[in-house]
Amino acid sequence: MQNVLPSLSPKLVGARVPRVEDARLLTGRGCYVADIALPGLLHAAFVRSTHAHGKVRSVDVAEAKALSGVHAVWTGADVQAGIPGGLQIEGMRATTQPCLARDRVRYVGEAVAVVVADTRHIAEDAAALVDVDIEPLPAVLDAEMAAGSGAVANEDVADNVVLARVHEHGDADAAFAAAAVTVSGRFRSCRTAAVPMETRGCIAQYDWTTQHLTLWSSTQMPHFFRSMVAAFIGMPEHAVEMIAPDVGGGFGQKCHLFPEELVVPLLARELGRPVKWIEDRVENLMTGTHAKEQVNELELALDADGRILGLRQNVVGDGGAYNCFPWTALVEPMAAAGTVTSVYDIPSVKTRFTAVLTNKVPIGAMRGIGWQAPQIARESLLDQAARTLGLSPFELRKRNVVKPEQFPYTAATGLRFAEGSYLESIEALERAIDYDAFRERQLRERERGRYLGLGTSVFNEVTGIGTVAAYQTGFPVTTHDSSTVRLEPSGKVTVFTSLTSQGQGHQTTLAQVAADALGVPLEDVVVRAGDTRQAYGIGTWGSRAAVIGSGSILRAAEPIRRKLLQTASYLLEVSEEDLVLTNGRVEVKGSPHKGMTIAELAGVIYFAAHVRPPDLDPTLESTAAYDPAEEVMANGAHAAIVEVDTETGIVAVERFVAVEDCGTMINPTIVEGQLRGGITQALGAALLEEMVYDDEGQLLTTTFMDYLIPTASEAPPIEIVHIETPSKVTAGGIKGMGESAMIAAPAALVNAVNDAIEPLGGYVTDVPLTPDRILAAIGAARA
Amino acid sequence: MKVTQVAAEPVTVELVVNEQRFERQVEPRISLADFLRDELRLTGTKLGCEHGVCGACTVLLDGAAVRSCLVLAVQAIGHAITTVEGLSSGPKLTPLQEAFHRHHALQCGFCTAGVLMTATALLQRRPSAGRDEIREELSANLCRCTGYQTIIDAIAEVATGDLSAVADTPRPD
Amino acid sequence: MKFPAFAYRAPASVDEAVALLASDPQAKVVAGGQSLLPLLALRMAQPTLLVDVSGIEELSFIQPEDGVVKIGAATTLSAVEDSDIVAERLPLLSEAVRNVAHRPIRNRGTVGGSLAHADPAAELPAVAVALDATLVARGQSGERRIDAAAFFTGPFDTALRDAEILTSVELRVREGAWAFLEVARRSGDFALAMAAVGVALDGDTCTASTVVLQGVGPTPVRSEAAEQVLNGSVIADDVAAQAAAAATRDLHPTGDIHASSDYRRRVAGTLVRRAALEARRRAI
Repeated sequence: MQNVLPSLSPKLVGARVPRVEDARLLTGRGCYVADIALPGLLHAAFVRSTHAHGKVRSVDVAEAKALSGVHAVWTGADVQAGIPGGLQIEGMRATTQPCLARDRVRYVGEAVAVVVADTRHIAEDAAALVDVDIEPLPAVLDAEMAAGSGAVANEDVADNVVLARVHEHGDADAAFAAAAVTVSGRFRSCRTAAVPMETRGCIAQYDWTTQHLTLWSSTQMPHFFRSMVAAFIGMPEHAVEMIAPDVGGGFGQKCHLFPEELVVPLLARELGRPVKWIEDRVENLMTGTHAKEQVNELELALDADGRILGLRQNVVGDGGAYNCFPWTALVEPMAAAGTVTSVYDIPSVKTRFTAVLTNKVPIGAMRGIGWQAPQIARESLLDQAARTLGLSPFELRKRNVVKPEQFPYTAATGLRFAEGSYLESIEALERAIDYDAFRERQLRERERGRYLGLGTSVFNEVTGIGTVAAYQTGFPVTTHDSSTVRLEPSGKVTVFTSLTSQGQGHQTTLAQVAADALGVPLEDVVVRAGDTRQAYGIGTWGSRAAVIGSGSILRAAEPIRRKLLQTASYLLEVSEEDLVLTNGRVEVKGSPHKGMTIAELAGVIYFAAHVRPPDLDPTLESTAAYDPAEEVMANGAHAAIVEVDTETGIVAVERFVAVEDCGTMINPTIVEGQLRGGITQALGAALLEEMVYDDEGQLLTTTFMDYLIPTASEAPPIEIVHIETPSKVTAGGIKGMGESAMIAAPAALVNAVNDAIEPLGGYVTDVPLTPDRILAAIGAARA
Repeated sequence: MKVTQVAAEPVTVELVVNEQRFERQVEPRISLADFLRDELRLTGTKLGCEHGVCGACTVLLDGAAVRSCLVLAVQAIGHAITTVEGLSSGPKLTPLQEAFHRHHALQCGFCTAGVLMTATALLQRRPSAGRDEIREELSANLCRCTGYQTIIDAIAEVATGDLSAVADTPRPD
Repeated sequence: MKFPAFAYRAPASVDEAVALLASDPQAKVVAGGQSLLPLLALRMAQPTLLVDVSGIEELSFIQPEDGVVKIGAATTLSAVEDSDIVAERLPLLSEAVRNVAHRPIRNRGTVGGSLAHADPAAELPAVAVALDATLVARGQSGERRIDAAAFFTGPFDTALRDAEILTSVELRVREGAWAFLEVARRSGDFALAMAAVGVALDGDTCTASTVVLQGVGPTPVRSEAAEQVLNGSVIADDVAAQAAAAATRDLHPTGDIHASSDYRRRVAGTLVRRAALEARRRAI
């Protein structure tokens, strides 16, 4: 069974092992897609729509083609391939995005033509010479208004609604009728983007002699996309290879197959020369998938003791012009509805979500996906309810979280929680904050005209996402992941895994797991990933690499363990039960001097047929899949203390505390790195980052001067508290946590600001909380 | 916008990079960043934005940190450039690089070269820089992965006044 | 975002630079390139010829003279930042220049470049106005001296003529104390609003003042109305608030995605008030 796991004896797992990846990256020897040079390499640049919606009347490429150094200029007429976007969900509308727009353009930045030239410089010069004549059509820009009526953003979806669903559990309306207190609000999360420091890009090389296509792509899902590229451009899968080299961050943006990634291999095949496309930052901001745009109308019904009786939610997600591939426009609103009750024991819910298409860049997956926006809404309402009831924000939450004795617990959303430290994490947070002392200080400072605020955010997170969890969150997809473990003739270990890294340190963490699985020292293990010739997998997303990587490695290592034990037992004439793998040896338990090294055993198995057990298959390479049998839920609690300058609206974060429970940690330093980076990214989401479109659908935030991500000066001081509640189903109890900060931290920051300005009557529900919005909220309250 | 064909004759660019003299012919419009990466194949310097904000392309020009995407190769004629590849003179990490490793001050690594160069320039100018000054100066480099704290920790550890901890290559004057 | 093609010259003298500019109406001056090159990267400018003045030695200097400090147009902002002469005689400039972007930008960006670029949210134009600067330019008809008050004519627009380049700026050494404040979304970003207030005191009373706002209009704004409130007064909270109100009464800043017009006006007032109080504290 692919979800039954051998046990793990942790030795390196749990240790703060410094990363094995670092030396290359510190000395400029990293190899990212842009760094790769091939003989005869040509460079592509795309011509992009300057209209949000329109009919393409003509695309004149004559002048571009005539430019010296240009090898090809293609338009939509030259590329038949398209990218389908849809899921097997009843009632869901699918879309197809053409690789190069043919008769319509549907968002500013959509690719209309492509130029291939000797250099990127020439390609850009030629791209500027392509004359695109577009007859403008009305641009659909407001998802709420577009849902069900009015102008059509994409004719594949006649009423702009990709899917609308209602989910009910219990009787929410009755709960609201019976409530002593109700709180409600309308919360707008704006469009943001992942903004990895390395932009997207790919290189394609086609060999006519072997009819083999090699692709290098800055991607998080090489195996899956290799299959899809082969399918979409009509090549046999075994003739296509995709390599993810060093990848400079992904954060979910690189979990999509982009039209450019189909055009580039087609060009390479046609031109007989390798073609490289590296997007520049304007392209990345303007055409890379966006994220997070949701409006959440949320209501909570509570009794006089502050127990939540019911929750009602209406979420509208702006999906952009096409279903992104593979997540679709559901990745925000459906996810929002699917986990909205979070850690709270809420008996009745009524949720409605609507995924709407608009004439903007497609919305895709980004760290925390659709879970971030409702977290802000719900945690904000909880703070409101706490104020109304005269309870501390900690107390109200403690009264409502799922208690230890309630596990295993099934939420009203259908999600199942096997274990968790919800109460414990809130208590740990409250201790770390010293709540009473803070309230005293807050009052004192208010008298001096300084406005401090405290915000909390308690959460759980679906991690280690496999088939079961995907289905449970509404995405009916089968995930398939595997790792290969190979014991080399000298006893060293090579691991191939599909869980590629974009900075998460898998080469180190998964080596820790493999080393413990086989009882070898860390330096005897190397982990390789990102090459489709090995270890098929769905890739790195959904906080899954630690869980899926460790599970598949443990399962793959098991037959090798068995063979080592079997051989040692045979040679030492000791029962297998009395043997243990440790320190690179197989030893007799209790008599460590009696044993053999793994190197010796490997040598025997490989090369001494007459010495090894006669019935032993000498293969010491094993591949195994892993797919968790149930949802793997991590949890935690965040708090932020901020000061708001109420005359300028500038927010300074004085302190941020993150309590994190991701089960057994493979490497606490890596976990902390994910938290620090994620919390800083969350600060961007809460205070700085906003993709702004004007009334005509032109994106105004196309450079780093306008789309603002946090710098070192904005990074808050962060304290981290670890709790470890091991998973009952994963390898060693390991859980994931990569997205936890982006799910939870924005809400903590929003709550902190609202707590600070509450005495002035201010309350902000639109994220990001820009200085302007904060001043306007205070001003509006004063008016 | 239409491009009028401009007679842009290649210019001979002669300069020193990591203590080695190079000479190449390039168009005036080639940035120092592209020159280093494409002409000299020193790909450690990265392009993160090409409009001077992210700092991934930071190199030292005569010891001062500059955005190589906002310097033309022709403007570097006769000057001395240090890139990340030139920080260490031998097959070992410098103490600054070691500190980054120990403090987990890098994750995806894409911003790292630029960060190291900014840090190097800062420490060469202000060898005992305090945390606030380090934070202020490192605001010149965007990082999406680390949250910056561990970067500041690593640089603060090295900021003891000992210049040899920063880079092996002597500072060009 | 690769630059479009252009020819390039690096003249050794100002006269040669002027002649090159005169020879090609689509030529542009480049010094540090920190403002121009991003425009080229975005293909918002397509000059046929770049005339690089950064290597012209006569343009790089910081020279104190009687009552002024003269700074060559090609002097880098970091040279200004590091200069003891500037720190001692032009404390406003010393403080303000540290807010310009980040150090790597200041290592290339020049005083002349910043002034000629005339970004309505930039620090140096505001300082030039506050210090009654004289900008010296040279063109085909020889040298011209232009008062800062007349130099900045609009957003990214100056009184410079075709084929005329800035050669230096002369900033007045003023007595009293200065405070410089700006509000930006992040460290190093363009200011949403900026205020520079200088006060000279006789005992407790303000005898002379300068109030300049930036980021609130097409050019730096010198508020004589605010100065009139401060002059002759003891700068306490109420006086500072009145000065702020006077400074912002007739302002109509342009709003954009970073801050609305109303925000900029209100915050500019806050900064004037805070800067007036701080300048007074420093003057005592």
